[in-house]
Amino acid sequence: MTIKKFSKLVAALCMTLCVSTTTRAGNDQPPDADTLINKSIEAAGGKEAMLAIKSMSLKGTISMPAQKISGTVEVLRKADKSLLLAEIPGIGQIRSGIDGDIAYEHSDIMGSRLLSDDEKEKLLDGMDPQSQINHFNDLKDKTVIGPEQVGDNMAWVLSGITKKNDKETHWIDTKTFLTLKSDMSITVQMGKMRGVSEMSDYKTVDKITMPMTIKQTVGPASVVLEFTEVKINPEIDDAKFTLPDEVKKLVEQAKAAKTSTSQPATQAAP
Amino acid sequence: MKKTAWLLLISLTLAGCRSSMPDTRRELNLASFDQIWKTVQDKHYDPTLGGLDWNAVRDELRPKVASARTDDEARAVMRQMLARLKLSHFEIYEADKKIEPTPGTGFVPALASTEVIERVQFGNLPELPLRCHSEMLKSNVQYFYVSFFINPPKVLGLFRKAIEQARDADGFILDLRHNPGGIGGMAMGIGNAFITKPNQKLGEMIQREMTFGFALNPQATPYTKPLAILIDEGSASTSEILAGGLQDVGRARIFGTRSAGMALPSLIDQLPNGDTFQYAVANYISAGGQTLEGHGVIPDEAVEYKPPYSAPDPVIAAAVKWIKTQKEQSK
Repeated sequence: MTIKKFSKLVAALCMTLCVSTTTRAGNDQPPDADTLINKSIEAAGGKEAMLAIKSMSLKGTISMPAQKISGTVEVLRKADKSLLLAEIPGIGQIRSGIDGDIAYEHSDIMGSRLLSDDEKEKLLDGMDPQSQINHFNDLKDKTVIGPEQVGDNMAWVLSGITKKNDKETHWIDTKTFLTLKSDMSITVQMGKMRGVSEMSDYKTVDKITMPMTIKQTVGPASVVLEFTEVKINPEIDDAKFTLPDEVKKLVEQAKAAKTSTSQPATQAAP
Repeated sequence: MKKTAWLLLISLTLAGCRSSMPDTRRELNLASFDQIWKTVQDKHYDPTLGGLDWNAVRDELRPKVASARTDDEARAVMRQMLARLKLSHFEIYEADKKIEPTPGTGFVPALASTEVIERVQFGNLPELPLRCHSEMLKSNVQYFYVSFFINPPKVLGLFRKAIEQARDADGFILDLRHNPGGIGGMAMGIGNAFITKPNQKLGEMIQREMTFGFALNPQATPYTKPLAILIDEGSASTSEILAGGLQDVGRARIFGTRSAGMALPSLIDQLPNGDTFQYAVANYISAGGQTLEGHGVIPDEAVEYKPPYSAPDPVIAAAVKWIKTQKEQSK
């Protein structure tokens, strides 16, 4: 669920994508897609543990090692609220969040904007504790091939078509059934791009097993997220999700514009 | 005597042939050459490299790096390789070298403070001297100058203050002369302050597999009064993206001289020998469909301002005059 949430931030920091994998023929027969998905969900903690997540917080670092750029990142999630906050020296603060119906981005570089319905839907989807389950199950025309080598591990290759008709591929470890790599489409305001995420350093926190390191490559640039602190169901003060003032003004303007367009047009005098 | 002379000549010739560079250093330079060659091969936005035989370039130049006697010689060969691409934003920056304006030739706007407000080190970029100047002119026009698009919190903070000061002014002058660019996203951050309509963009980055729009987003309190942008032959990259984009969407009038035509979005990576390597990752097309690379932004009003840049600045004067005309016309 975190990978999708970070994709927009990463896509905003870099731009396109490049993928390379070493394919090696194996003698093992791949499992069918549903079996593989179920095992993957179990490996990540299982449906019950995922449904038990009511709030979550992650802290760590975000970096573009090749460009010598690094900073901190924090993610908070609670009920219908979420916040992603990155502080990168030389770039400033990047803030993206949801508070009920309002989804926004606010940064030192770009200023503020309210997200489109489509962008909001994706963010909300990423907040759902069952997002990984739903996401895998929503794939159409699922196929599994492999195994293929991903780094030092062998992985089954699960491919399918998303609800938005984008091809998506996930490399799932043949032994642990944890996702090692994903190749998926990311849509941001700047356009649609493909991003490759490589997950490693899995750790279990309160029955949820998740990668502590995610490397996302979008086009020529790669961004690395390394989490140092993960909390499941922590107490999170609502004040943390308070909208920035500029975003509040945009919300008021959007409401006013909606009200004025919903007024019946004045009848012209004969 | 003859024999001694021959021996001396042979030893001198051998000394000339022998490289003075340690093998470890040579290896690092070769690894740097290979990284540059492969990066261009893999990431250049045009996979055909404009028809250039890139393998032949490597075969010709790699031995010259191997036989280079100094880092400067090796670097010169690598720059020679990049020069074959005939594009901007393919550059090698020497490790730990600072960028300083050449004394006597550096452009300083007549109104702007010459003081460097900060020396900025960002990522792999060389250290850059940041100059920024904001002033309400006697003509009641807000003037804002920035030397590089770096340190967004600081520069955009000062810019947003200037916008607030300009609410009661007759217009805004954004001086991008001799601004060679910087962080591309800052063009959108500044552009956002001046637009009122949604779904506009400064232009598009075209990469190998996809195209991205430099999207603009109206802010809560946009600045709607006349905007004049000043450019010259030293305005490049992010400056051109911003000036060209706002010109194309009809939001700004451009004054000065044609810009550099060096507008390719790029990244900067570290090389094994300690230098850094800047490479373009996209072509850039402005909102009006113009390729800026090699063409530049053409001012709406051509006004020259040449060294020694003594006041009064004719480009600012032309911009002020236009802003005043706009005010008269809006009455």
